[in-house]
Amino acid sequence: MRLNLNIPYDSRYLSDLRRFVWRALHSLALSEITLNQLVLAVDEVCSNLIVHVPAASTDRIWVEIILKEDLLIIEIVDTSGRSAFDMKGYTPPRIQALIRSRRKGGLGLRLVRSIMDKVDVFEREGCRVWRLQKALVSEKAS
Amino acid sequence: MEVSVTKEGDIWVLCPKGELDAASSILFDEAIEKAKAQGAQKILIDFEELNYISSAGLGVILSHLDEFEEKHIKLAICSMKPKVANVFEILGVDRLLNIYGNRNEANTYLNEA
Repeated sequence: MRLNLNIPYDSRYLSDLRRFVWRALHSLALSEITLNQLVLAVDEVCSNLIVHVPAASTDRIWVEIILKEDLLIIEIVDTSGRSAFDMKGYTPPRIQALIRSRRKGGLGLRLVRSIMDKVDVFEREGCRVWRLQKALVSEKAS
Repeated sequence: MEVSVTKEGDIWVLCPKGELDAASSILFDEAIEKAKAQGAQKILIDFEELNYISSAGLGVILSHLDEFEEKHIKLAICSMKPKVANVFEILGVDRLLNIYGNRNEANTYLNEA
């Protein structure tokens, strides 16, 4: 299976993105919670990109969902031309420190890393690619 | 997403409906700010009609906790769908909040002396 979608760098399109991911994966006999987690992981990466790109950008975020047997690969391509995010150097913020700072953000990537088996960020043809991977185990939908 | 804000006795009840994401979290934050501005000392967030939450929604709640503690504002959350509750559990945020299965249980906590 290989499906793709592209959206503008605009948070108003996140609901369309979530519907796309849900429709792509809902036939895989996953539980509602697992399906929601996968939708959430894609939403979080794309939200993060949208937050850091000027609203006037005409670039688009490309999302491709690839299923190879039981391995789910989701590639999110950031075409904005920004420098590569250093995933290896990323340290998830401590919840208590976030609370004390009264900041509203900072939890998204922590969620993504908790949900997915593997998260890589690399450069390809001048774009930054986020590759999320998860081995899927069929579950009875609850 | 819509957020209704009502007052039941001395409890401010916030009911977000739909999907709480990066786009709609501003509305949710405004609802909490509205309750705070009116001098709320007890806030109940009822998630019964919430179908989805991202880190942006969680972030809004967490960003107010320090002030709630400082001002002795009691916060309760109730009626989360399992897939919504799971997002709190992934991050361990559920252990930091007063979360109840239904509104009656949440009201009991909020009305404790």
